[in-house]
Parts: sequence; structure tokens; C-alpha cells
Amino acid sequence: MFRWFISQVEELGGIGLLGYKCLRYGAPLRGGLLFKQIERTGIDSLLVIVLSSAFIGMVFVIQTFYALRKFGAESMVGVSLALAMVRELGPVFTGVMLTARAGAAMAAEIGSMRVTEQIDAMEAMAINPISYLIVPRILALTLVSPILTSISDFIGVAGGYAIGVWVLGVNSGAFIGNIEKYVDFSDIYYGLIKSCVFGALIGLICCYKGYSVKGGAEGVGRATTESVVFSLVMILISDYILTALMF
Amino acid sequence: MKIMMEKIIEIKELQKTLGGKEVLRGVNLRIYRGCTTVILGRSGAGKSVLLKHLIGLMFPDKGSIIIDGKDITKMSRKELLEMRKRFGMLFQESALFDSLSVFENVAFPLWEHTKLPEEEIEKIVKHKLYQVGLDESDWDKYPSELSGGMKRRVALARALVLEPEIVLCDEPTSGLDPITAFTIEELISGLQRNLSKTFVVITHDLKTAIAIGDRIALLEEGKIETEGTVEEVLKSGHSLIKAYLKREVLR
Repeated sequence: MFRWFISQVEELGGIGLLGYKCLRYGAPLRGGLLFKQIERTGIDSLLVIVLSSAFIGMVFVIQTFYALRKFGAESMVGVSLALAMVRELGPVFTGVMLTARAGAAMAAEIGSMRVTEQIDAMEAMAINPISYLIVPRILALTLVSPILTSISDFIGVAGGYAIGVWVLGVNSGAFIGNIEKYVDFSDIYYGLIKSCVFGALIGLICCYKGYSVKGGAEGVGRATTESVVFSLVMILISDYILTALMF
Repeated sequence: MKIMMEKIIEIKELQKTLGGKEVLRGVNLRIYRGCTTVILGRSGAGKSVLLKHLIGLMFPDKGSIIIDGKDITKMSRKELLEMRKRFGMLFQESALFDSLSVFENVAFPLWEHTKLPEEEIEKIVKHKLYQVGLDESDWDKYPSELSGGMKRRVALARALVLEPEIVLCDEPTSGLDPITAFTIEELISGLQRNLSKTFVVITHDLKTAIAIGDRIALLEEGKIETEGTVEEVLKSGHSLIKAYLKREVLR
């Protein structure tokens, strides 16, 4: 147990150190590579996020509709969905999907470059792998995450609207009116700030796990799994901290 | 046989422990300008670790590596990056970038370190690829589509594209069939003759060492056991050289 604790602290130290190196040696910013990573992480993750968000919104409305009906408050189903989406479900589910779709791929790609000496080759050519490989990936996830979260929020609410209004018979005006009335702008942008932090954390953790791979193909597999698990745990922990601080 | 005795690299008392094992135990070696120095040793003797120290990919626990009067173990990050531009390195498994084509792999150092126009880069890359014997039909291929020998050729072209003064080769023929290994040996010695660069080659194969080396340094258990011209080392009577020669005769 003590050894496990020490190894986790070491991991956190390593991740922190990589973050420091990105700030210290990350320049110059490579726009072309950043754009390529935004395209890869953003566009590749879009479909899965749209799909999952729509279903999350639909399920949420079904569950809350039956609970709210007991109090005669069915008209509040829209606002409860919207608040849950923008404050919590949108950022967290986008983070989870980005980890599974883009983060795991990043850890595997960088890890495989490490074990086949491609990163050593880059360093031997006097090219800084932090600036070439790591910074564009972390930055891309940090930028893409709030954009995907916004889409997730919208699709989630739209999915919930479809089920709530067309299937369960909630009044359309009440559904939208209550959202306009009770959802503050701060709810939206606090959610987006959370998603930026999640994006940066996923990028940092997955790049660190890939960058520090040891032990060939087996090591790459282990690092990929660990990067997903560690990212998900860190998303949930940071979600609690940010929620407690912001709302 | 060239006798050029101007030293370009001097390794002094280099020590390195990895995972509790003493890999390098006080290595002393001089590398001479314009020569091919082969570091010969068995698997696990510390050859790759020694080579990685030369280019600053690893740092020693003790000792120094002096290149043209400057100790690279004491260089700042910026100085180290500048110094690395003087080197080209051929890795054991070629270490080509999977996501780039043959042409792009060779052009990559030029894109990163020069401001040459694209036409000029294209000209240089084509020249280097021809030099290592690759024709145009291979240029758009990706590393996964290449044979082991072709990968080494591309990696060699990439190592030479910035016209480095010193070329490091990590086991250039390991894992290749004897015919391909022979062509790679021919290629390296031909390039060394024509380009007059300093080559440092590590290998576990005495045949390769004799084929391409001007000088041989025998690395055993983290120390240089014997060093000199190929003839001197072969006549040194060192037990390991005898064992190598006996194995070759038995073959």
C-alpha cells in the first residue's frame, strides 16, 4: 500500500515535471502540428461525443421526468437537464470520451515512438520532442475540449428536448422558457473552464505515460491502459475540486 | 590504411550505472578525425550506452566526453542542441518516423534546421537517397513497407543529410541477412571513403569491424580492453579477440 502510494506520488511528480518542461522548453509553438492535432482529436472524437451526448440527454429526461412528475414539476425537466449538462455532464462526458478516443491513442503513439527509438532519433537530430510532440497535443486537447463540450451541451439538451416534448408531452415553451430563465451565463462558462482543465489534464497524463514508456510492446500496452485509468480518476478528482471552488 | 591522428572525441573515465548494474566502468577512448572507429563488444557490454553518451542522449555518473576541447557532460541544454547538429546517428532499428514517407524522413532534419527553399531540399534529399542506393520508386513508401536493409539505407541517408562531421552507427548490420549486411558494410565504408567523415560504429560482429573499421576498440564488461588499428587489435592476442577469430574460422 505504501509502495503504491509512493509510486502514485512519483507519477504525479513526473506529470508535473513534464508540465514544467512544456512551459520551459515548449517554444516555438508549431502551428501546423497544432492544427493537425486539433483536427485529429476534435474531428475524430466529434461523432462519438455527439452520439453519447444525445443519449445522455434523452436518458436524463426520462429519469428526471418521472421523479419531477411526483411533485407536479414536469415543466422543470428542461432546466434540470440544461443545468446538469452545462455544469457537469457535458464537461465530464466529453473528458471521458476524449480520454478514450484521443488520449489513449496519444499514449500509444508516443509510447511506440519511445520504444522504437524515434524520440531518441529526434533528440539526436537536435529537435526538441517536447516542442514537437508533446506541446501541440496538450494544447490541442485543451482547445478542443471546450468546443466539444459546447457541442455536447447543445446536443444533450436537444436530445432531451426531443424525448421530453415529443414523447413525454412536456410543454415546449416551458421546456425552453425555464432554461432561459434559470440557466445563467456563468453556469455555461464555468463548465467550459472545467472542460479546458480536463483537456489539459488528459493531454498531460497521456503524453507523460507514452513518453515515459519502458519495456517494449508490453510497456506500450500497459502505459495506454494506465493513461486512461489515471486520466479518468484525475478528471473526477479535479471535477470535484473545481465544482467546489466555482459553484 | 589511413593514419590520421587528430583526435576529435576524447572519452575519459566514463562511468554509468543503470538499474544497479555498472554498465560503464571507467571507459577511456580517443576517436580520431576522418577515421572509422569500431567499438566491438558482446551483447550487454555497454556499447549502445556508450554511443548514447557521445551524443548526450545519456549522461554519465562520472567522467567526461571532450569534443573539440569542450566537455559535453557540462554543456547547457542550448549548447548540447548545437553540438548535436555536428552528429548524425544511425539507430539499431533505424528509428524512422512511422508517420513520414521515405522522402519526408530524410527531408525532416532539413525542414527543421535550415531555411532552404523546398526545391533545394528536394535536390539534397534526392542526392542522399541516390547515394545510399535507393531509387525513386521507394521514395513515397512508408517505413512499414520497407525491408530491414532498406530501412537502414534510409536511416543512413537521414543521418547524413545535414552533412554532419561525426556519424554514429549503432549495430548497422544486426538483424540483417549476410548479403544485405555486406551491402550495408560496403555502403558505410564507401561513404566514409568518399565523404571523409568521422564514423563511430558499434557492433558485436568482428567481420563487420574488420570490413569497415580503421581502428577497433574492444569493449568488455564496461571497459575498453584493447584499442588500436585493425591489425594491432587482431595481433593483440586478447582472449576475446582469439575467441572471435576462432568462431570465424569455425564458420
